[in-house]
Amino acid sequence: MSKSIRHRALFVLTLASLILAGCGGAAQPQAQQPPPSPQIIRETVKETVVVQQTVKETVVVQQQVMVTPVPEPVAKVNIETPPRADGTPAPADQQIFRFDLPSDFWPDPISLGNWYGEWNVLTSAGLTTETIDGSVRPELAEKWESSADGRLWTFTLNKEAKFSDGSPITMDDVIFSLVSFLDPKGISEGLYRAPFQDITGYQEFIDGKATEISGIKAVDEHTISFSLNRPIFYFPSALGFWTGRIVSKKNVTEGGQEWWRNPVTSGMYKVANFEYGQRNYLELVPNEYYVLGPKPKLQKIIIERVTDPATRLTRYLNNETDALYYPEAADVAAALRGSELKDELLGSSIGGYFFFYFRHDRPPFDDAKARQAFMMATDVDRLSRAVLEGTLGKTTSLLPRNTDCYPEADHSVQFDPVKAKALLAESKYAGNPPLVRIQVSEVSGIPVVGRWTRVATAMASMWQENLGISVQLQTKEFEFEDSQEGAAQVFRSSRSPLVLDGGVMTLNFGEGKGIADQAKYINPEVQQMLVQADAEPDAAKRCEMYQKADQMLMQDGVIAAGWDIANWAFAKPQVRGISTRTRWQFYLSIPDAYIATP
Amino acid sequence: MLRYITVRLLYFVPVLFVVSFFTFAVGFYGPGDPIRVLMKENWNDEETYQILRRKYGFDRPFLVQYGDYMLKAVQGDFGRSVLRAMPVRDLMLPSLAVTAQLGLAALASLSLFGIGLGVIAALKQNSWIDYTIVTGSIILQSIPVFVLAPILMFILVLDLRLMKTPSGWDGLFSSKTLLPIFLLTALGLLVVVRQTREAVISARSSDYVRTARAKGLRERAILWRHVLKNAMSPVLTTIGLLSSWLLTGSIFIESIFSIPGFGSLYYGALKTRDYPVLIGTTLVVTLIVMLTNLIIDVCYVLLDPRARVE
Repeated sequence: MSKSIRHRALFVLTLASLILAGCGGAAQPQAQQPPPSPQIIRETVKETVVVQQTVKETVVVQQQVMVTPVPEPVAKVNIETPPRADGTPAPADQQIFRFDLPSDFWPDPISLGNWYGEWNVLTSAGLTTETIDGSVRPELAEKWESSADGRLWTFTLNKEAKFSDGSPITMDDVIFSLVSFLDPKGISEGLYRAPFQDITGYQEFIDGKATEISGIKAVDEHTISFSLNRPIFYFPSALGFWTGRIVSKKNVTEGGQEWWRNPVTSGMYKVANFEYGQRNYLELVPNEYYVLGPKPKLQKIIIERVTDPATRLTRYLNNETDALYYPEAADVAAALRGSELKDELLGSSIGGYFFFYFRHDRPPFDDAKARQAFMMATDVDRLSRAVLEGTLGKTTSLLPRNTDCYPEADHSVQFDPVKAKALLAESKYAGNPPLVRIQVSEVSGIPVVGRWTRVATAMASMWQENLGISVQLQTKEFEFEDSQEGAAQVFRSSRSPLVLDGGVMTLNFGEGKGIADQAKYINPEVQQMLVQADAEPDAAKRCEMYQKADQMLMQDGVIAAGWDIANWAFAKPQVRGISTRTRWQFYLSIPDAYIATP
Repeated sequence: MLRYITVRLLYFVPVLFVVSFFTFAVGFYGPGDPIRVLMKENWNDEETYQILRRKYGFDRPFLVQYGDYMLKAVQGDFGRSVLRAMPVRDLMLPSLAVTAQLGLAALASLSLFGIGLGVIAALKQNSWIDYTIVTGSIILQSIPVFVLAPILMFILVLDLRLMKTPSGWDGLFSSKTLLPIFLLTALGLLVVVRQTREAVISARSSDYVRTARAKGLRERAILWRHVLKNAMSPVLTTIGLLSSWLLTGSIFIESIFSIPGFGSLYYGALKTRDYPVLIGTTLVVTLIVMLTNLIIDVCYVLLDPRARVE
């Protein structure tokens, strides 16, 4: 080939490549509308120069004004997949339900190193328990009543109740379980004791001044009473939590530190096979002595530890498991976009939230107007759609979802960048807002760029664009790390509800409690209102008060931006009666769940 | 030789002391806190935090905690895991056995394939076979294991339906171990192939091989009796060094396939700052690395008379 032919061929190839490259870029479909970019417009204004109250001259000048159009509002993310249709149950020997958990687990409903221990509701009974419609139902306690002032609660135990070994559940077992659960010095870590700290004599017990909790008393063989330091009308709901459930005193005391290797259970299932150590494997079968609720239809539940998400997904796709708990957000997002798993997706928003909060003791968030300005400058719905890919919806109330108290109205601050700028200008930081630092940590504690880092990055750019302030991101491995040097003012956190009741407001936002303590938020008016609400015997009035407090808290910027925690799972089509509409994954729907014939 | 081994063993004591001290200090003063991790979203409940710190003995001064830990550690008691509700020793021993089995199987596979392919590449030097072997090893080494493992798993399990998902541990001879062993082999293959290839090429051009050829020995006899025998000592050193890496470096593979081995135990403890597990595993890893080095040195001396003189 001559030199000139080679040159021509090279030229033609280069030209063809350029044309192809140009075509390739344009052919890519745009997943989303690009954000509106600032436009520079030219306008003519009259400028009047005033000198010593005398009009000196009026000149016509041209100036450039930067106008950022307000983006079109995006549709709100609403997470609630429809319930599955009923089917014909498969024979009993096919009623087997298998799923994996991503971390260690062991059957222990009082000591909670368990990271994914909510499944303990299957093997342990509480005095009360919850239903998937968000109400509290009797379990070990047949009935309960309170004194008129809400300070004394009496629970009558079911006389027929038995453990999985056939031995009766006695008052001794009940008191042992509750005291063990509430004592961080003993076999429990006392991590969920917050709703019980108002039991009379509890603080003396914790301080070592008393050997027992004076407020917990056995009235007779089948009646237990709790006296409280203040009226709490959500107390029965607190007793329905997945911890603080009933264990056999004999089993625990004789079994030593690792008594749970051979547990005697009080719940609807008993342990048929349990391995912990090299392999973490659990087989549950119905507890034939369980009389405290409906008999489960599933005849065997198999849980295994599989730490890697790709391996869990492969097992699910290969029909080695029937459900996939804790799926990766990317897989959920793909299913929402219509992947092959779209019909197997189950999801519900539950009564907890992921959120960013302001530190109210650090500038500029010690100023209410500045807080509101930052909230109004945050388009949470857009973040839900664009960054979280529709897997989490905006928190519009701090009250637990799926309860009667949950307000229909949206209590959150609405996105309004124009008003945000005006509010910042009215705050004491007008003109000289300090550098704002956001501290981000991912849930897993692994220092990788995860979804919350992406959300924080987008939020920072919204604040920069809408408020014209400088924002810096600090990535930390754990949420609790807070370096004073260059201290952040905005943090990411999450909170699940400790009670399925409006009382969660007091536990999270009461004086020196939960989120209020983390955010250093002090609002005596709200805190007083919450104490009064807890003491209100009329449920409707109580809700009204909680809702009012909720609105005040949301508007006052107790959180900067929040997303309701959503329970996502995949389940094979033959699994019916299952629902993720509960606080604890789909465990509370297990009594109704069954395997249908194909 | 005995004196040499004794002296080397005595060196272990200060090394272990220094490693344990630094690990403890990093855990004590570094970021993260196992109690706060344990408390999850209730981490800001200060009263519970203080009670739990007292309960686990983390409220004591650094030197008291360190001294107490070491005193118990020399008796085989490495404390109790904060987050896994078990004594550290009971967590470490079975996981060490799992990793050792996996590591030895991978080592055998690595020796077989690494040396075999290295020799073939050397014998077919600069041919397409040589290029294919070396390039293939480079590709296997270049793809990160956390990318390669899920891809292979999807292909073998979901596309080709050749096996069930390899997850967990059912013993070394279970089909579940095939993919982890393959991946461990793939990770170390390039080093062994290249080392073998270079050593064989170098040996083949040496004077004693030329002399053997001149004497009329057949190529196969030259290869087995003269080339491989001389080429193997640096290769064995490399494989020896890789063996400690196989024991400690299988973190990702064990995590991906939920293998309850030493790597995943170490990784889990690191993520959650479970100090007792972290310090216990670090001490054991240090001991393994030092013992492996000692064994390699002793083997080297036995294989190569020149090293004995030195």
